[in-house]
Amino acid sequence: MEGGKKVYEFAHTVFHFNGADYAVDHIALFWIGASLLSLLCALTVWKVKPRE
Amino acid sequence: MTVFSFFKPAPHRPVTGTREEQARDYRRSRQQAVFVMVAVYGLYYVCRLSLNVMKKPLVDSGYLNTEQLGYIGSTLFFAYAVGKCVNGFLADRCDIRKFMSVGLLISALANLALGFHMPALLFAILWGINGYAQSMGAPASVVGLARWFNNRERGTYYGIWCTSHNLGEALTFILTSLIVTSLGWRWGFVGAALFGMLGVVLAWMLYHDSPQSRGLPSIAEWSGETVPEEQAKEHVSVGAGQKAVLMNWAVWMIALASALIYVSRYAVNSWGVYFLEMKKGYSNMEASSIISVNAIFGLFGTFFSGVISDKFFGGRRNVPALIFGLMNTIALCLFLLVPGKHAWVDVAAMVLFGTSIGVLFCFLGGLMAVDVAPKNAAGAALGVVGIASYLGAGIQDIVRVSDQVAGDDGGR
Repeated sequence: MEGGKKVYEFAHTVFHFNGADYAVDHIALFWIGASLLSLLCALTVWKVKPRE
Repeated sequence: MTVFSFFKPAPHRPVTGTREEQARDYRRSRQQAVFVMVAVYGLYYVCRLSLNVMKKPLVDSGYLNTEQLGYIGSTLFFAYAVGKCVNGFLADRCDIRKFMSVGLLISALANLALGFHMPALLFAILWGINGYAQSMGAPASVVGLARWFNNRERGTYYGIWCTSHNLGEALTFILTSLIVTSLGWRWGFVGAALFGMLGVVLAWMLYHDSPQSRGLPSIAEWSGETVPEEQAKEHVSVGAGQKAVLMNWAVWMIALASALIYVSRYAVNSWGVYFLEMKKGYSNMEASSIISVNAIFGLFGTFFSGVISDKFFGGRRNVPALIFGLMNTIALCLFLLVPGKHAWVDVAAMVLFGTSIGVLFCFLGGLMAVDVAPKNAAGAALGVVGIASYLGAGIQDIVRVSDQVAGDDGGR
């Protein structure tokens, strides 16, 4: 949980840079995180060859 | 005759005819198989989406309220998720012509029954039965792909098959909507049922269980594919092939990847319009137009996904999965993190998102798992990925709702 909080705070710091009102909230991070994790999972089977 | 004997695979006939005659029969049967997979599975969608275009008339007529429609909708969702797994394993052991036809017949009959007035609980039960019957279509199609197409062309036809849901959506939102608007919701269900019946007739007449059931050599023999001796010995029975699927870590990783990509797919499809309205200040019409770009490019991505991987990457999906996976993440960052109302940025995000989700929906949602599964266990591979994907979609909705509540309470 602590790690997750830090990531969230870091994202807020980055995306609120210059005081801009960036549309970042928990759910945006959840969606982007899901997309990124999906990519990582797909990469784990990089070397698995299709069956003959 | 028992249910099991009815669904038993069609018996293999002795191989007959010259090479030319076999080629002619193969070509015709494969054309019919593709037609059935796209058109009939498109008609499955008409019976699945019928309720979506009738919600307002149902509420306006005082027959059902929005809360009842909520739980009625969820019965289909859960029955479909469970059914996709169970039916995936069953389809490997069945005559797929009968499997495809019976699923759509039950679904059409459920729609027909829903045209009559009944208590909400019975409505929900029938809609749940419809959900289970709906889950018989995809395994019957994917098992057909494994039986009729070789490994080098499977991706191309898988991509073409995946566009059937766009066909089903178009038929629902144009024809079923027209019936509902002109004749009322009862006829909307009857219309969907008639479309379903048409699909049953087409599947029964044109779909064939396997090349061997038509007196043709198997696809592996016909296309000259060489099966390594170890693999041939390892999975002689369907049960052994299915066990190999369950023991294959790669199938589970693909299932997890698919579940996660369904999170982002349903995030944009279900909440994209709301997000644009609430966070970026678009009107409802503007937000809907931007999100619709995603649907158009999704169709494009799905259709070409298999062709691209078959023609340019020799049937390997890893490189295109990496490219389109990155594209998906970049698209979501553009959509969610760029502040304010910049229509072109949001449209560009939807172009990238739609294209990438179209490709990944095809690859991670089944094709990659079918690629690594034994030919006689394609349905099982689809079943494992299918249930994981719908769990992902379900979790997406729960997390979104929880976050909404936390946001409202905490005044974030």
